[in-house]
Formats: sequence, structure tokens, C-alpha cells
Amino acid sequence: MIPKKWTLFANHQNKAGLLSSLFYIVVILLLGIPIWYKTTTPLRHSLPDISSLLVHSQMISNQIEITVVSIGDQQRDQLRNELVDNWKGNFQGNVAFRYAWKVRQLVKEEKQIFVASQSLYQIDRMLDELESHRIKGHLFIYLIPENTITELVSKSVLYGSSRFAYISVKNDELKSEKSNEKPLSEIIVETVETMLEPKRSSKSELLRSEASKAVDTLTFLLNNEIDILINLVMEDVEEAIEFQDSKRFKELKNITRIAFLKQSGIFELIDAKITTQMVYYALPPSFIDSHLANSEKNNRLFKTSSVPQLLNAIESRIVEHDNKQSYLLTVYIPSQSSNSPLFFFEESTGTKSNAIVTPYRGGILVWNDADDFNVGFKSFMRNLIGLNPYENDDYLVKNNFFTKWELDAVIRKVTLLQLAKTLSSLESIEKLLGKVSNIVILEEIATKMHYAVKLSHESMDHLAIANLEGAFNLSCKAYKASETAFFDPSLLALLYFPDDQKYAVYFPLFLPVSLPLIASIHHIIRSMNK
Amino acid sequence: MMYEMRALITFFAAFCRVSLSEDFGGSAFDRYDERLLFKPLPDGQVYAHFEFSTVFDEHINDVFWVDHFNLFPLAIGKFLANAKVQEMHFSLAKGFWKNSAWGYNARDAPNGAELTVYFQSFQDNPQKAWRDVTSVLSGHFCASLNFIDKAATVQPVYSFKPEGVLQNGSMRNDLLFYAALPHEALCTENLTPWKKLLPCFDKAGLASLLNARHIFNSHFVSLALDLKPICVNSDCYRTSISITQTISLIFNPPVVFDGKKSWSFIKFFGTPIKEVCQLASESTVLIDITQNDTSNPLTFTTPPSGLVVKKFGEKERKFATFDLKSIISEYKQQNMSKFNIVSLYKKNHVYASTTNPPPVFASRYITGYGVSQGGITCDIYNKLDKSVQIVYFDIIPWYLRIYVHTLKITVANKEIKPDTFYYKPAKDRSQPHHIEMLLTLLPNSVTTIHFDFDRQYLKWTEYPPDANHGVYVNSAVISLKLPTAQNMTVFSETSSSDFFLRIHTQSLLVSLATPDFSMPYNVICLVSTVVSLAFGPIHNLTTRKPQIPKSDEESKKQSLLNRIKNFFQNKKSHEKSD
Repeated sequence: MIPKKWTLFANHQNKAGLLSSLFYIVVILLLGIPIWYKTTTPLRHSLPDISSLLVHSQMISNQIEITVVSIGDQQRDQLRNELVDNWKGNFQGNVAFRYAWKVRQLVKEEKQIFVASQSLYQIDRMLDELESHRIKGHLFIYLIPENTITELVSKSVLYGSSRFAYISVKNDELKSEKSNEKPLSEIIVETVETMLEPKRSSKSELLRSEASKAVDTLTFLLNNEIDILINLVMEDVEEAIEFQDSKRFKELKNITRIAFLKQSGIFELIDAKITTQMVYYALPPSFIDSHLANSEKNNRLFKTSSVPQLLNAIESRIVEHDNKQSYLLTVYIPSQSSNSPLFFFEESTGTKSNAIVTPYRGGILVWNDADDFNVGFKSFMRNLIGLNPYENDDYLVKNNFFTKWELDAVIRKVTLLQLAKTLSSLESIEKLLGKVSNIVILEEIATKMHYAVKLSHESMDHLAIANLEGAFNLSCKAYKASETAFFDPSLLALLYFPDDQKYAVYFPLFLPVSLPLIASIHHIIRSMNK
Repeated sequence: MMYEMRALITFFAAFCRVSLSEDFGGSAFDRYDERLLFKPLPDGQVYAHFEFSTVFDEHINDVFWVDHFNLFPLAIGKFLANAKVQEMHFSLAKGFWKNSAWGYNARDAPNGAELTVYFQSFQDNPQKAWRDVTSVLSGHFCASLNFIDKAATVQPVYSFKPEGVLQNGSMRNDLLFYAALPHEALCTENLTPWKKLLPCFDKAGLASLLNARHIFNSHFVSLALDLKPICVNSDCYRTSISITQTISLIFNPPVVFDGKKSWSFIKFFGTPIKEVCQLASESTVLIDITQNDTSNPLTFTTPPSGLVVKKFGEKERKFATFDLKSIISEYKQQNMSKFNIVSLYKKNHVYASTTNPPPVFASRYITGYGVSQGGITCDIYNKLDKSVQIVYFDIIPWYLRIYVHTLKITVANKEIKPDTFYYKPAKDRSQPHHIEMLLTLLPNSVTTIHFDFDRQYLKWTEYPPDANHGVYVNSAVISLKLPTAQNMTVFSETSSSDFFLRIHTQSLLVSLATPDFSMPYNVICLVSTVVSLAFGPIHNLTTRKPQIPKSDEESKKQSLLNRIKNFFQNKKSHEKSD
């Protein structure tokens, strides 16, 4: 059935005219407008679902497997019930922890170690050799009967160099030896919390220059790669020439290359490279003397307010090599023969230090005494990965770079930070696309974003099942993918036509063409209504 | 054919400057030496050449494992380890070195930037490494070397052979890269990073004279960095890395100092030497006094520490030497802290044609007119009584389409053939024309190389800023082994028999046909207008049906135009009747 209007149309006296009007309209609608739209609209591949990642990230829970091992005949069942019922996790801070408790007796291998070893140091070292005790993020608490081990006599809790903590308990009671008020379960939980989030005490900070009060050094660790560049600046050029044959230089090499790179376990967290260079003629001859505060007897006190000038003088002298990110540690060695030791001096507080941290860049250390570099370098490296610069008294092994549980805690922090940064990069891209409509998203970028989202989800899942290592590896990849997507230069290459030009350029065409077309449409409508 | 092969082999031997007997100088430790050579030129100008050389006691393949740097610059060490560079020659220059007036430069450099890199044999991806090298170096020296792309890069066949020690003594052509940017400007931002590579920076020693404000006032400035592996001792069992940094300057005292020829450190550089670089094993100022004119002799206020006389070829050269280390330590004992060399002449400079033309030099220029076709001609002069064999190396950008059939090499209007000829044609936007030839220059002759080209149209986005200025074409490079040291700049300990020479001709400025850059917008507007103007009538023709006009009266009533006409006509008739 042909509608009535159409029959009228068929009988119209200017049939050809009407048909050609229709033809023009069809061509404009099917060909003209799509071509115009296609050529003036940016290419955008579909983006991943970022809101689901946002929701997932707000619900991250870190499962922590904690094994409490009791030596002796304590009532394990009661302790187990108390821990499982009352201490399900810590959901107070920024990071949620869910504890998976396991309370047991010594297993066969552990028993052998405890029987054979003389000291806690030895026990600590041998326990670490067991394969079952080397899982990242897994914590072991050993409840040791009082007075059986000499190291524990003066302290109730000692932290091992690996993933173990030792708590001294009374033989027959489930109470800690020293603090009678607190139940053992509470002490265990406190120990676990310390091991999960090593606290920074404000007292033992490295002296900071003013601008750097709250700089999060963890951002250094996001890229998994760092070039630590140690600039050796010596006060006396003649001493500098002989420095490379000196005992001090050998010590520096041992501490940095062997103790730090090979033995500290830093490679589990980050791929660090250390390069040292001699920097000659860095400072004008009287530079140090002209910035001294009223000096102390036998010591020179350098004003901390002049540290920026000192660093500028040194940094304008050196050439940085091609690298992804560098941490610059300047070691200033005062003249041994002619000058007294040098310290940085904060005039307002009257504090004195031989090391200063600079924001985002590294620090400067004065090597006055023989042990200064050893202590200073360790503090800088601990500070670099966000730990307390100095070890606490309750650490079993002293003069160590980091303990394994500290590294695990840093790895967890970095994983969470990488996940957060991945999310924020992806969110930024999404927001940017909403704001700037001319940004092109190539397929390659979209694929990277999808990949980052997928890996982030997987990484969070791994955290929930206490697989820290897997989560860290995945979050690294996710972060890298999101960063390359975010910093891809193709995002900057805007489409050629901004909105105003999109219409302005074609305006001389659109306006004259549209007038007859409108007349045609009017004509068609009129003839249909007749 | 056999003859050609033999000629080639002997020639290679001459150009590979890996002579074990001479290329050693390193001890078992890092070493740093600095020297400054002054050479008064016949036309009253003074040539100052700084040479800073650091020897790093490491095999070039092992630098990757080095984690402590003493005198050798860390940035360069890391760079050559990452890119697996075996040898590198880099120069930046401002001005054209006039061989005919100034003699040969100790380290010749063309105007702009020039970079030659030879990679280590285990570099798997030399093409990518070359890209990395150019971008890292552009960062290090603040130069636009990142503009070196495929279209500017060639892999030389006969020229630019590695000069240092080679692994197994054989070279691979795919590892050798060359590029030049004739339009690159040299300025202070390039000098500062270059100075930072020196162990004493500009705080002490000869480098403290390198005051940017003064040295960029000279007539010619070039700075260069040459890096190559050298033998540690004569059996070449071990090798070390040598990095040589040079600066060449030409000052013109008679012009700047009111006709007086006298000069001093303070006059040239604005400062005396205040402190000696204690890291330098040797710190010497040499003054070439061979050409010392007896009627207006050159004397110094401070007596030189020594006089060196050495025979180069047939001729003797004399050098006055100043050993800075001993002079400044003496000065310090006398409580004097500043050392200045002041040269004195009794009379003012007299301009005369005293220049002594060098044995071989070249001049290259553009021929033809208009912006469609043109030609390039290079005249190579040989003033010697012997014939000389040279390698001619020329890169022409792809947008000048050269015709090889028009290539003519003539001596006194007689065409000659090159001993060997290599030509790689250009590809648009990805490869330049690459010409290399071995030529024998006849005694006392002028050899002319000429070829024609067409100027290609570029895409409108490919034109450089200020397109009407024209585009630069690299200078041609001529390498040869001279039988004489005449006009060469030599140091007192330069080898007295092997006079290898590399000279650069003028770089060329070629005008290309440039479009009207507002054209695309004009075209869009014009086409749109034409289309829309055409569309209206066509649309009307096709959609309206011609109709017989209605009766006059009726149509007159209806027509707006007629009503207006009537209105005016009525008005006129009223006026008339009035």
C-alpha cells in the first residue's frame, strides 16, 4: 500500500525536481555529513573501565600470613583462639591488613636448629636458610621461654634480620616476661604492626635543609631503576690525587658495591647501580670558610642556610649521564692534614650533623671520621627507601642495611603506591579526554591502558591472597604500562581542527549550499502536505 | 681492474691511521695533558689551538663494567658503554677555515656540526644505536643533533676510516656512520658542557682561558671531541681510551688592537692564568716561531722555558715552549699569582701578500641560476710537483636531484676518470646522495668536479623556518696523505713522516622554490566559494520546472520588483506634472 501522501507526490507536476531535491538531501546526509564528521573528529579507541578499578582499589585488603611458634609448653589453643577471635586485622590506617594466624609448635627442622645453635644470631641465620621461611610478606613470631637465650634477657621483643621476631615469655604463662600488664596476644599484634609498617621516629632524622620537610622518597622507587651517583669532592686537590689508593676509597667500594648492592637485598626491590666519580675544583678556594657559623673549638660549623649554594656549586660542575633517574650523593672530604672536621649547623635549633638530605635529589655527607661514610651511607639508603635513617635498639643484628621484614614492608608500600599511581594516571587520561575533545587515542595506547587495568586487578587479587611477590611484579608492569600510555607523545598530537576551525573553515561552503537545500526541504514538505 | 684493487689496498693502508708505533701515549694510569699552541699567521692573525687529552686506562669493551671515574668524564664513559661506541669524532664550528690564508687546521672542522661514529663489533643494532648516540649527544652538548635523521646519515665507504685501534684489525662498513649539520650554530651553551668534561673544568690550567665572551669574538671558533682506543705500549697487547678535546680560534690583533700585532693572554682571553691544573701531567704553551720575521721579530716579556727545533719533512719548525707547572710554582714562590704571556713586535703590521698557499686546497660553489636547475662545482688545487691521491667525499640532500651522467671531472678542460667511484643515489626523505671517489691530482693542476641537479619541491611542512633563506648543503671532505708538512699545523711531538690531512670545503646555501604558505587556507576558501556558487544555480536548474509566465497584468501586480519600479515611476511622473 502506498501512503496517500506518496501518491500525491508521484502525481506532482515537477516530479523530476522533487526527485533531485531528494537526491541532494540523501547525498548530503549519507555522504557529506559523515565525511565532514570523520575528517574533523579525533580517532579514539575505547578506553578500559577505570571506575571498576577505582572501586577495587578502595577495597584492597592485604592478607598477612603470621605464624606464631611457641617453644615450650604454653597453651597454644587459648592463644590461637584469642588471636583469631580478637585480632582479625588492622583496618584503621590507610592500608587494610587482614591477619591469617597460625599458631603451632616447632617443626622438626626448627627444632634441630634450636637444639644445635648457640646464640640467637645463629638461630636467626639458620632459620632464614629454610625454604619455608623465605616467603615474602610472611611473618614468624617465636615465643621463647625467658632466660633461655642471652640476647633476650634485657628485652622483651627482638626483631631478627630476616622475617622473624622473638618474644620472651614466661614458661608457664601466656604473658610476656617484661610487661605484665599487657596480654601476650596484644604484644604479638604490636610486634606484627611494627613489622608491617616500620615507624619513623622524628628524633633520628637526617638533618634536612628547610625546603624538604615532607618529601616522600618512595617516588624514587616507582620506576624500579635508579642510578646512585656518588660525587667525591675533596677539599685538597693534592689529597684527592692520592685518594684512590687510600684505605678510605677501598672501604667506600666495599660498602657500596659489596655490602649494599650484593648483600643488602636491595635488588629485590629495585635495580640499583652505583657509580662514583671524583669531582675536582668544584668549590672556589674560600667557599667553605666564607659560610661558617661562629665556629666551635676544633670543629668548623657550616651554616645549613648556605647548603643550597654549596650544592649549586657542586651540581653546576658535574655532568649527569644519560639515565632514567638518579640519586646524587655528594661526599665531601675535608682536608686531613690542614683543616679541622666540618659539620652542618642549624643555627635556629643548634643541631649539628654531618649529613643533609636534599629533596628529590639525594644528599650531602661530610666524611670526617673513619666510620662516617659507613653510617652515613646506610642512613641515606634507608632514608631513600622510606625507612628510619638509623636502626632501632631492638634489632637483633646491628650495622645492617635493612632487615628482610623492612624490605617486605617497603615492597608492599611501593606496590600500593604503584597501584595508586597507575589508577591516577589512567583517571587523568580519562578526565583529560573529557576536557580536551581533540585528543587522539591510538590503538596502541588503548591497549596499554587495558593492559594496565588488567594487571592492576590481578595485582590486587594477589595481595588478597598474601602473594606479595606476585603482586609487586604485576604492579610494576601495570605502572610501567600506564606511565608509557600517559606520557606517549601521541596524546599531545591534537587533531588539526579545533572546534572553531572545524566550522569556520567550511563555513563559506556550508552557508551557500545550505540555503538552496533548505528551500528544497521546504518545497518537499509543502508538496507532501498538499 | 687489478691496478684499481692494488691502488685501493695501498690507499686503505694510508688512511687507516692505526700505526702501532705512534698511537700510544698512555701509562698504566689515567693521564691528563693540556697544551696550547699559538701560531702567528702571515696575514697578521693568530691561530690559537687548545688540546686537552685524557687517557683512560680501560679497554673500550670493558667500560660497561667501570663504576668509578677519575679523570675521564663519567657522562662520556657511560654513554660510550651504553651505545657500544668504538670511536667517535664530533665537532662544532662557527665560520669557515680559510686553508689558503691560514694553512691547515690541526683539527679541521666544517661550519656547523659534524659527527662520525664507529660502533663496537658486538653492537647488534647499529642503526638504533646511531639514533641513541645523536639524541644523547644533543642533550650533552645542547646542540640540535637530534635533527640527524636517516635523510642526513651516510655510511662512508672510503673516507672516515677509524683512526684508533681496531679489534682484529678489520673494519665493518655497517658500523660506521657519518652526518653533518651545516646550519648548526655554535655558541656558549655548547661550550659550557664541553668544558665540564675537562677534569679541571675552567677553574684551573689552560681551560681557565676559555672565556666565552672573548673566544666568541674571534674570527673562527671550532670545538671538537675525538674519542678512540689507543695502544698502551708498542706491542699493543693492551689498549686504553683516549679522549681529545680541541678548540681552534683565529684572532685578528691588527684589526682589534689598532694595527698592532702584539697580543697577550689578557688581550685575547680577558684573563691571565692564575692557577695550574694539578691533575695535568703536562701543561704547556707552545708558540710556533718558525715564521719569525727578522725585520719585525716576535719577542716575549717572559722568557720561554725552552726552544724546540724539529724537522718535519724537509723543513724545520721552531717552537718556544712555556711549561706552566714549573713557571707557576716559581711564581708562587715569588708570591706572584698571575701568569700572562705578552708577545711584542717593534713595528705595526704591514699588509702585504705574504700568504703562502698550501699544497692542496679546494673551493666548491653552486652554479646556474633560478630555482629550478643548478650545478655544483668543486675546484681542487694541487700546487705540488708530484701527483697526489685523494678521496673526495660529498653528501647532497635528497631534494637536490643530481644527475650522475652530468658528472665531469676535468683537468685543463680535459676529462679524466676517477680511480674508483662510489655512488649511492638518494631516496626521498630517507637517504641523501652519497658520492665518494678516489682521484689522482696531477702535479700543478686544478681538477674540477662538476655535476648538475634539479631542485625538488618539498611538502609545505618540510620547509625549514625562514624558507626563503635557502637550505644548506654539507661541505665536501677531501682526505689525503701529503708528502710534505708545508702549511700544516704541527705540534713539537707530531710524527715527522706521516702527514695525513682532512680538509673541508665551503658548505653551500641553495635557494629552493618556496610556496606561498597561506595557500592551503586560500585553496579551501576559494574552492568552497566556487563549489557553493556553482551549486546554487545547478540546484535550481535541477529542482525547478520552467513555467510559462503568467499574464502581464497579474504578474506585474504580484512582482515585488515591478511594484518598486512602479513606485519610482509614479514618483517621477508626479514630479514632472508638478
